[in-house]
Amino acid sequence: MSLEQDKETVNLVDQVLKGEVSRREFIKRAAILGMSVGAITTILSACGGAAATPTATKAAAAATAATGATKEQIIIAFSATPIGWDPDLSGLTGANETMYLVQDGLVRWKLGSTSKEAGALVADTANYPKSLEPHLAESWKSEGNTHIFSLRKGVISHAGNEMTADDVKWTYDRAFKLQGIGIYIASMGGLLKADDVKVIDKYTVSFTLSLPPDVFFKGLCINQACVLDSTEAKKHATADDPYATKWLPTGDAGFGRYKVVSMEAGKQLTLESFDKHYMGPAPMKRLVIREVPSSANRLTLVDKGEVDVVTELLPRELETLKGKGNVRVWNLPSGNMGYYEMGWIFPPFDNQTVRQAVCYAVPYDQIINEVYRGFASPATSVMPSSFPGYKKSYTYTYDVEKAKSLLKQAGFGDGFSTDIAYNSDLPLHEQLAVVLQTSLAKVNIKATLKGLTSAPYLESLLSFDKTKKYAIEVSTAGQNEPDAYYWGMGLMHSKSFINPSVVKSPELDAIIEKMGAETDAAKRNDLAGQMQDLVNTQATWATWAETNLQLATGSAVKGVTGYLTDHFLNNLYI
Amino acid sequence: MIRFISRRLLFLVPQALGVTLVAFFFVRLLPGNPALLIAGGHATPDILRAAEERLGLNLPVWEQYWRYLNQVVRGDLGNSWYTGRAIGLDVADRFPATLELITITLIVCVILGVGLGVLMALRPGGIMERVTFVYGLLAGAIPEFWFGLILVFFFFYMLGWFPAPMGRIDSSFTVPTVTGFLTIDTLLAGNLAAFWSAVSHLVLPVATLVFVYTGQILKMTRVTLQEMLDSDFVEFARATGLSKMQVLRYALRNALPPVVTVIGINYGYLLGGAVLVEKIFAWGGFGQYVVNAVLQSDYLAIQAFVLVAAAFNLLVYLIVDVIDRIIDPRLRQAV
Repeated sequence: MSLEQDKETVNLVDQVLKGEVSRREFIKRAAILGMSVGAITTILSACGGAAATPTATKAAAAATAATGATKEQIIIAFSATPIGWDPDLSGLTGANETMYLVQDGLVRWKLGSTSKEAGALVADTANYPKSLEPHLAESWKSEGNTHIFSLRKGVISHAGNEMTADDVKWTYDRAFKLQGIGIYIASMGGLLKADDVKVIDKYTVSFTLSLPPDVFFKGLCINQACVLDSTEAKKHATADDPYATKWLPTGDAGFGRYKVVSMEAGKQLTLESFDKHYMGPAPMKRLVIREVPSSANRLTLVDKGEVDVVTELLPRELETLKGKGNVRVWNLPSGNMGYYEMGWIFPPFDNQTVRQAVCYAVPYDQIINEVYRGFASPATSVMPSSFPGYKKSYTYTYDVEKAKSLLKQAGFGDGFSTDIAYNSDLPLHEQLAVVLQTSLAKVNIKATLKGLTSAPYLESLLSFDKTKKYAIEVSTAGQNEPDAYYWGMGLMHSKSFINPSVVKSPELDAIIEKMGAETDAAKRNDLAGQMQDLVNTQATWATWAETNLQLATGSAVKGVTGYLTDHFLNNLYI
Repeated sequence: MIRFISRRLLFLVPQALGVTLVAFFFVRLLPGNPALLIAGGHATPDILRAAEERLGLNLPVWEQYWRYLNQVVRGDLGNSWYTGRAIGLDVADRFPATLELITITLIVCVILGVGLGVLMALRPGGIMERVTFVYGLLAGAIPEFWFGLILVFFFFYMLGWFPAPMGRIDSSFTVPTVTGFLTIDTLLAGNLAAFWSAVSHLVLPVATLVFVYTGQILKMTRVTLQEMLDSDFVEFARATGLSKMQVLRYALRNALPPVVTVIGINYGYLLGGAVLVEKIFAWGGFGQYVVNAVLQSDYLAIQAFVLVAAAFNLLVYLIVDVIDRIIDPRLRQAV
């Protein structure tokens, strides 16, 4: 899709949502612009969504008046203002939600409708590679292991500098030097050193990989894989700080759709549409992100129409908003999963039969219905269903008798004692731990709960040391890299430094390694299926749900997007 | 008096040194590796090592302390491990918000606590005593964060009498910072609309804290004043024919020292007590800042809070002691 077509599409969508263009006219023009049937249907259903009834319309008008949510401004309430948007140094959720607004990447996911939520557009990760779209890169081609990207010409940064291949090179040099969060996925994708990124000419850059390109290309869509304006960043560098690490976290070196207007840490971040963006002005002129730490207050604020978008509400809070005409609760498919991870280094969890017994002891429906109040979906694999290569493979159901029988078979008919660790900073973790503790008691497994704050919890998850780790760990992991090899290599391979359950399975290692070297997509997916089947048999993780991505919006917001774990602010339609 | 104040100020130096030592080492007793939290779950051993070096965590602990002390002596509280921002700037931004909240709270607590305490002492066994008894039970049992949420629910959500719990002032106002107290800065800027916005945003958080913290002042006033009113010298004063107001003034002056002490202690408690209230009302103050710092294992930010809180408390106790000496001449003569 050309630059002009992009702009035209955005304007057209804007017009139909505002009612300036009839549905018939929209369909005709959308077809000319090459919009897919799915996208057309989704946008039209968003037009006839929550504000369809007179009551909802009145409430919507009232909400609009209360927030002033016109096409000028959207107010979003987060639990914390982003700490920054440095792709290498700024971690945490809030930072992820800001990174993609301020900074763009070379490619992006095509958005498609989802059957789970009318009016929502989600990243079409399942149809990789067809669903990768040009963004800052106009096109790319592969020559063996080298992948050459032609950059879009005339892309201007917020500071007024044109993007060139030097910016891409500098961004990756920085990432490799700082060894921050950003470089992990690229290196897992086979980009091993800065010298493998080469400037061919002013608008052409190449990447030489040591692996087939799937992980790397998908990784180009994550927030951290953005391009920085090196000219602007270098103005803030010093001899001691050549990569502007002090400035960049809250400085603006972006080519993204929104520029930073002001940042008051702990209070408010204000972003404004960057009208010189290659896609033209953003759907909203201004985004205001307010820090509202209390989820009860975020609930109240969106209900009263004081804010337009809130996140991180508890399931019972989301439930209270359902059915209200002035608020919509969105439940988007994502890469978020829930697990009880059993550590192989803790007997008897080194026994596969024992792990299988635990999987049969988990009350899956209770977790989805009572803990998640129906906002989670049953897990049908250890991997998210949105991943390419996903296979319906999770075979465990809640069956106490089966669990007891397996324990007896393994020689633990009288049960045993164990620990369950959870992150006490996360609201649902304790509840999830208690549910498991209660269920395990029914099969004579006596579990002691260990609530840990974030730092020791993370240490427990990532440690291979029995003194710092616990036998069972509650995990609610968000996975934004939709690749089965990446998933397996990071989480299940015996040589991975992550491998939370300290799995040591040569058979599983072999499948994962073979997948990483496989270039044929069909064979790769087949290997992914084998991996999922084996992980299911080994029962390392009792996978209770796909926990999805929830947010609540005022009725002025008619459409949202989702990108596995974030990106829902990218294309809000009002 | 000048010698007394000078001696106390001199003591501040070793006290502050002790506080830095305690803050530094106790914070490092927090479990978990903060570098891992900053580097994230995908941190390879190399990435983790790089993060630890950036934060200075790879150095021996005494060397870390020495570097920290050198910084603090130069007035540098270090940089937040999360935001990268100078903590001194964060303190300058956030502390006035907290100070405004707790100072106004204290003023209201004193007016209500002393006023009601005097009334109760003058009319023992009356209806005020029964009401205060129930209030005392509730104030002791109800957590302030819950009470704050209840106030938000009734007065914002149901009745719409007060603004949303989203900060100190309506975001449409831009007020030049002079003192950091919005109630003062808005008046200095001559912006009455902004002033009323700041005041209306203060009502619910102040009410939350006043509900919890007035009780001690009220009780202390009532008890000590009652004692004075029952004492021999007051009996003598009445017998000599002094008016009720004059007798009350004598009794009150003698009852004040312990009341002033309790007020001072409460002022210090408020600094900690405001933490949860700031979170509820998204106040953007120092308390909210330190909660995030604790959750993120941002050691330097936590240490800065301990240091600032300790300095604040030491200063408050000094002021309390000076006031006590002004009220009570016997203390001025004490060695």
